[in-house]
Amino acid sequence: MMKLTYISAVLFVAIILGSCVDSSPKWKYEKSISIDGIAPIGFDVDGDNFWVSDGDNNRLLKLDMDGKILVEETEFERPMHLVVDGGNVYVPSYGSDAIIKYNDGKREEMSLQDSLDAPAGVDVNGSEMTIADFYNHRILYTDGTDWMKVGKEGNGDLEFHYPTDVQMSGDKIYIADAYNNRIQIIDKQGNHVKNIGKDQKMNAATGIYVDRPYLYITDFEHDRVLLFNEEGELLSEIKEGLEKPTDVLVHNERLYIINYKSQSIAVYTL
Amino acid sequence: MKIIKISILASLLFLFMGTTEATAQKADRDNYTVMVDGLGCPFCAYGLEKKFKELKGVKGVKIDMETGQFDFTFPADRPLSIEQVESQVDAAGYTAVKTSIKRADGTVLKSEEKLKTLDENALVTEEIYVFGNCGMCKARIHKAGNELESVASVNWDIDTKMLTVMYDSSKTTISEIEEKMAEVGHDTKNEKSASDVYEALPGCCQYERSN
Repeated sequence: MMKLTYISAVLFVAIILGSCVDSSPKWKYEKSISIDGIAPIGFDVDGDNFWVSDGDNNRLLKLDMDGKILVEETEFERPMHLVVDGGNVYVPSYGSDAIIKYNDGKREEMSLQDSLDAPAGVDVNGSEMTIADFYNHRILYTDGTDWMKVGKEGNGDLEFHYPTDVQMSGDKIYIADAYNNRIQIIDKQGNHVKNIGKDQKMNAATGIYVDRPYLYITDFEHDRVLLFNEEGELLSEIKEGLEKPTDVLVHNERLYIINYKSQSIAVYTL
Repeated sequence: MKIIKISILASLLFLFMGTTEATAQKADRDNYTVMVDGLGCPFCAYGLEKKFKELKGVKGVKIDMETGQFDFTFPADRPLSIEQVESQVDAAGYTAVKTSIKRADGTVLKSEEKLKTLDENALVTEEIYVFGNCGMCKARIHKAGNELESVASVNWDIDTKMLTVMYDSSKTTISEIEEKMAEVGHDTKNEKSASDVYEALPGCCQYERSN
């Protein structure tokens, strides 16, 4: 009896310790939603629907969760990693060097302090906005009043090689530093915080999603998404259902990843 | 009835004018085809398109990411040379492997294809390990190999990093080929690239060096 109690106590402690060591999400592949005819680059959630940029076909699309097109807006110029905020869809227009604010059929070009060269990603939170300025190899950030510009071409800290996506969270900006094959984190004052993922030999880290303390990054050429913690430790590698993934997000305890090549949205559950 | 006849005539005239205009428009433009290496993702393809659209007048852009074939048309009264086209590809961050231009008057221009005189009996095929990462590395390695007069063909495998090279052993050695790879920034098992050359490679090409 004494022995049994002892074993139970050891098992209990082991389970507790085990759960403390790794409580990171364990995503299981559920299904793929076909979005045939759409070459997705970026997406975001709006209620129970998605807004998706269709880069090849210069379209902004609203899809339901089954991939059915609800709204189709044409004549965008290579729309990229968009974001939904406050009922507006903010679309980086890579081909026309602009950020377009879209709302219910109306388009407005955002006023920026500087000229862009192929904006590939944008994130907006109220009056704050950050932009991945692809060909200028830099990141722009505004708190709504002042602008900060960080970066030049290179592979050191605060240097970028074709950044393709950005996301703000807390006081930090997380960047998909695509052809440096890493995540680069800076703060909103323009200081370098950390580089993550360089050791994973990614090939084109194109899309990023931050759900602190977890960071997701798409590894386009290797058909996978990597999940890191903020310390830079690799927690898992997701490969099933992926073919040239370009963007990723978590919504209602589901992980969604868009595939450029297979024209699909892969869905994962916990 | 008269009204119907007039309508038909008007329609035919409109169609005829449309066809003539389309033909004239087509004849006013040169057609360009460039085989581009290093187009790994849609960002690259859109970037190439964007850089070419800076040359006002570019139309009909088609990019096949799988094959690297890039087609476009440009006004015939402002003809671009092969050098201008390849330099614009270079400015976009990629490598033009082969370029052909079909002028509106039917003239066809092609980028120079070197004629190499090789001794068939001395041709040997070998494999060497060449460090690199990506499609841009592949383009650079292939270009460097093909620049050697004594090399018949090269093929670098992005996954295994093995370069299969066919060369004229009466004119060169595998060491010379390895030296050439190192010269453009790619280490081999026996030859190391100079640090400044390696450092100058684009970030995505900076492979992990062995000690």
